[in-house]
Amino acid sequence: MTDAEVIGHRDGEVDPAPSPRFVRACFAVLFAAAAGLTVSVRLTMPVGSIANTEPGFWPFWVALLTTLLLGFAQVRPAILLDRAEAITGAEARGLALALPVLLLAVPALGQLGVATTTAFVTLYWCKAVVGSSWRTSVVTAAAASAGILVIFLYLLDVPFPAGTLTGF
Amino acid sequence: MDILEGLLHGLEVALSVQNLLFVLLGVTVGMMVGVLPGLGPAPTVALLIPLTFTLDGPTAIILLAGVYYGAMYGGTITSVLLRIPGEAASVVSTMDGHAMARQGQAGKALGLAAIGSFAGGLFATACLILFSPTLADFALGFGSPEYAVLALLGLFLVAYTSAGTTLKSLVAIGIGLLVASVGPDPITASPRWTLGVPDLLGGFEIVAIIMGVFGLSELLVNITESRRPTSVTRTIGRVLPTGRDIADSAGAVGRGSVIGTALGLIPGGGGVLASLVSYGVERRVSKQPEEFGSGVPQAVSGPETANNAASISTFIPLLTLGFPPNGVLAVIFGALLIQGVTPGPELIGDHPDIFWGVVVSMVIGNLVLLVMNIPLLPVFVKIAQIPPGTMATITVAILVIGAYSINGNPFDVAVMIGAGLVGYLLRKLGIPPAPLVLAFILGPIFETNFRRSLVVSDGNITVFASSPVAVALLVVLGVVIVTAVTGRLWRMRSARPGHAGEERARRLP
Repeated sequence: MTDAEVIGHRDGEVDPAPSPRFVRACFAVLFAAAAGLTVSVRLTMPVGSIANTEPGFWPFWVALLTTLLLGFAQVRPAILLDRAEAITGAEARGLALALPVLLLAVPALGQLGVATTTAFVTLYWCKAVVGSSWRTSVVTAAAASAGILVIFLYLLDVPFPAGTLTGF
Repeated sequence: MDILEGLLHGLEVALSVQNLLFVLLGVTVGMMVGVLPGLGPAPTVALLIPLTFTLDGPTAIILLAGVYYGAMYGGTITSVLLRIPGEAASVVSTMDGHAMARQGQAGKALGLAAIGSFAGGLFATACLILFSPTLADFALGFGSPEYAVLALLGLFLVAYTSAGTTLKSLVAIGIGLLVASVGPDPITASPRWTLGVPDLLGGFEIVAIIMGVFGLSELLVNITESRRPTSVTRTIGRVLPTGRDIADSAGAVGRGSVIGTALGLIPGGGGVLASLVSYGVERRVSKQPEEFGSGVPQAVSGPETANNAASISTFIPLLTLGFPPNGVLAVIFGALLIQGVTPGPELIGDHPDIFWGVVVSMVIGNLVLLVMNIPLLPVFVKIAQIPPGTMATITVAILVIGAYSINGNPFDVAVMIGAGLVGYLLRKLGIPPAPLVLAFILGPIFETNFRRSLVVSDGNITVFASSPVAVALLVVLGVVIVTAVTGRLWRMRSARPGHAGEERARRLP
């Protein structure tokens, strides 16, 4: 149980109920993925036998059992919906704002280096995702990224590769 | 090295200036984490792993362990004063602890909780000292079949005791096992599912997975979190309990110590389960069970003792058998691997600095917490009011830099983001993420020992029942499975028609 779950279930607050159709669709996708993996392992890896296990032995049986579990869940709506929560409009907007910057950070780390990327990510997060004012965002982002970089670069002496574009 | 020698060696390690500072840092961060709702011990320990890369082994684990048991103390403060559990194990204290606070007895509740936590921590540490070397010696005799059965038992117990339905926990385990199978085959070293990507030849980086599943997914779940405390108690009152208060709670503290220590050993157990069971036991032994919920001191001291004892006894299976029983210990397992230390029965003999240093640091850390807890209460109340947005910004910076610092490879950041998204979606679907991480760790242990046993026995499946230990473990496994199935059938029979999620009744709130 996460802290968020605990907090969400107190003070009479109730997490928004998810759409059963959405939950079923997600589980159907998981089921299809697991089934696809099972078939893929069987076709692409040697599985062997109990007496002579091959590299595909373990992934095949795990994928098969997971497929069966997900298949069983498909016919038990009560299990599917247990503890499931809806993704609210506000959450979806938050995710839509947060994900691009996280994904951009991956190539940016190599190109711009760790310091520039961290400063950019924290500033964007504070302004766009959290919705702080420009002044608060700049101060928070500068303090957060500088503080964390000082810890990693100078106190812990963690070596980071320099950005290919920035040289630091 | 016998116990006395070990303790003296541990004192030498733990009392070094560096380690004392890191105990202090760990428990302080832990208390802050416990105070801040929305950031539990597992994500925080995951976030701190990159900080341990350049530390030596004992210091790294002393820091992370301090965060864990420090969080157990800190969570009580907001539970009692604000009726918001800073972390999940303190949820029980929101009932009677906050009721006491409303009656002007916040100080008494916090004082009793602190003293109980200290006593529970000491009791669990004593058990860790007394039983771990013996258990590790015993486990040295384990072969591949015993380890395979033990790993399987661990996976089933995690599934059975995790939040949500067992089926969903098993699905999480299946996903974790599949993710763990990417990379080299443990027997033949042939690449599996690497899709021609060189970064996948070694498999997924455990720290990136842990940071994503625990850290980033928590951040995404709380992305719109803006709830503020609604029921603030500012009057703390007398903090030190009277002799009579302590005497009245002595039984609850004793029971909580035993319950917490025992439940901490069980895979999937830990502080949450321990505090809930302790609350139930206190209510059952009370002469006035109807008063529970209206401010009964034993309902605070028992569970708080239990959750702290559990947070320490969970180290026993990790340090002696190499099995992390819950999410936080899974993260610490990863930290040990990064230090070049493989958790297991050889750890106590091969790395006495880590085992004895960490054990002695736990005693020191609990003492520090007891002393710090009371005078610093106003500071921690202020910390609880830090805007969530500021915390989120700091967290995202730590996640990005932390994942990048593993190997200086942006691919690990991509893995962390992918794991975070998977963790987020699983949470939304009601699938607990902790079993996924535990399966990611236990999967390779199970596969390696399972297949090795089959190779040695020429495919004879009875190899898994070839020793008394393996048979005993199989019997326990059978009992767990039968209990899970019969319990489910019983609940289905007694459930009202159309009532979903009946399993919640036996589980956590």
